[in-house]
Amino acid sequence: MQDVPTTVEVRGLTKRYGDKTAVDAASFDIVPGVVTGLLGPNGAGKSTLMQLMVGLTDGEGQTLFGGRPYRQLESPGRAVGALLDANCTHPKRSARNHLRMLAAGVGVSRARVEEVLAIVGLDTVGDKKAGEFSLGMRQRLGLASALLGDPHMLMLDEPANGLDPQGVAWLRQFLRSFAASGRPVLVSSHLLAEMQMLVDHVVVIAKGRIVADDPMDTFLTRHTAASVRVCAAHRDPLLHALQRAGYTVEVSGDALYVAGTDSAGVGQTAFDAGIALTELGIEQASLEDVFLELTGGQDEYAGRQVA
Amino acid sequence: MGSMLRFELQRARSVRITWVLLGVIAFLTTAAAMGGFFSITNGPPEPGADPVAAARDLAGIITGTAPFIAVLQAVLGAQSLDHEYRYGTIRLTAQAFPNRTRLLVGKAQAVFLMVGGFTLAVYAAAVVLGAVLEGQIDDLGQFGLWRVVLSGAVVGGLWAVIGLGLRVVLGNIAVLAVLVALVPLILENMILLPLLGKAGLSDDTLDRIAPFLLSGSSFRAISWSADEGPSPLVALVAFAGWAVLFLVVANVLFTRRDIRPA
Repeated sequence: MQDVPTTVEVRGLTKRYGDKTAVDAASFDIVPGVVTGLLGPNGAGKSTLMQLMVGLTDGEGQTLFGGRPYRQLESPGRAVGALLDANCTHPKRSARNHLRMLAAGVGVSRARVEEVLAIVGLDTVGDKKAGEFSLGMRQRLGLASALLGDPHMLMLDEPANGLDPQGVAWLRQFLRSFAASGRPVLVSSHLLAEMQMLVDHVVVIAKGRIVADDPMDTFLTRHTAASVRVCAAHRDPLLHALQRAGYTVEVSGDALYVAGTDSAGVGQTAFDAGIALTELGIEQASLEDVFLELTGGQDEYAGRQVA
Repeated sequence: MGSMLRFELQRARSVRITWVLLGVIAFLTTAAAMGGFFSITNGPPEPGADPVAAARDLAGIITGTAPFIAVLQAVLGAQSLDHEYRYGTIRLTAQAFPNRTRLLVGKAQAVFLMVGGFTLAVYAAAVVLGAVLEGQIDDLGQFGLWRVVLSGAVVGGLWAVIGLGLRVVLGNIAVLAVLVALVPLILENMILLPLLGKAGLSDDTLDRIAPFLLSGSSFRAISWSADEGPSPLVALVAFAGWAVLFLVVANVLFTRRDIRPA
């Protein structure tokens, strides 16, 4: 890989297990200076896709890091820092020894081990056995291992799992800072609210297929049609007035959700009909709503509602 | 290679099982040396005692534990991968060394050097201990004794490589240990050679074949003399060939399988 971080190109990655296609011709770019989020429900193919990218599993297609596949990188640990499973630690090995072992493989000094322990806030518990760590601490240890080679790129699979709110805030700030140095970041998650605050660009995967690949703002604009939430003391007359005016209206309890207009339009219609409003506001769909819309019915592990 | 060796040494020394297995090898070898010499020596050597016979005894005693130690050496080699699969660190290792063939060969080199080096140190210590006990310390460098010690170290390293290869093929370290323990007794001496005999091969032919079989070549390589049959050096080359064969088969499987923790 070149010294300067470059765009990572994912091209046609496909993985099949017998008749089942875990990842289906996934293609997208991960751009320097941008935090890209890989979103998908459980079993969507996020982890398999990331494993394909670094050659842990074989399939079709390729991922190019600075124009070269991962296996052809001269120093992969310095090119790509990857955290694909926070549980990849020997429970009886101390965090410091775990990192020293990896440092030998990456080709960095023991001083760097102390640096990354300090970066992730584990410097005071470096001699503690990894088996005694909480999931959040193991996530930090995993991030430390990804950072050992001061890589040109970060790939993190569900890094916020197990982190407390302070940890999540810290992770968000850290990844922002890492990307701000001009390096690409790929983060997978199903914690959609967290991703909405963290990522600049979103790639949505469901049943192995990429169903959206947009800048976050564009994504939200494209997929989240705002509606007007309105309540009145007498709901039905307002409903009829809005329908007569040609608006699409959904009823949810006491509230009406009106599409195709803004709050001024709804207010004017109510005024013309002589109806007093008790509530009026814009309702923006959250990323969760969009996500459910895009992947609706595709989360094969989704629980069924209790009747 | 340098980073792989450093990685493997750091990995091995940070897990307790490595020290347990090395300790058992050291104990067995040292105990055999002391026990053997106490049983065959009755005080200081008599004037005119045959130093060649003493050196031969020394070599025989030290390498007498080889069949048992081979199992431990193979398990040590297998641990290099087994531990990584069991605790999932194989993913991190494969990320650091993404070329699978280089990863496997690097691990093979590392376990060969580590186990071979330790075996050399233990055998050398046993030789010195035995020589002191037998009063032949002045003749230590003579009579090819060190050739046996060096061969023993190389054979030990090769058993570790075979263990590594078998771990990839079998996927189970317990089965591997049983297999390595039973190969000399059952597969070669009680099954293969009798079968070949029944197939019409003469005893002379069988005697010529035996030193080239897996365990046969390993024991021949560390034998004291080579009055009949292939020389220990030829047997050592044959045994190295077995190790390479295991490694090649392992590499075919290792490069085709996805990296998934056990």
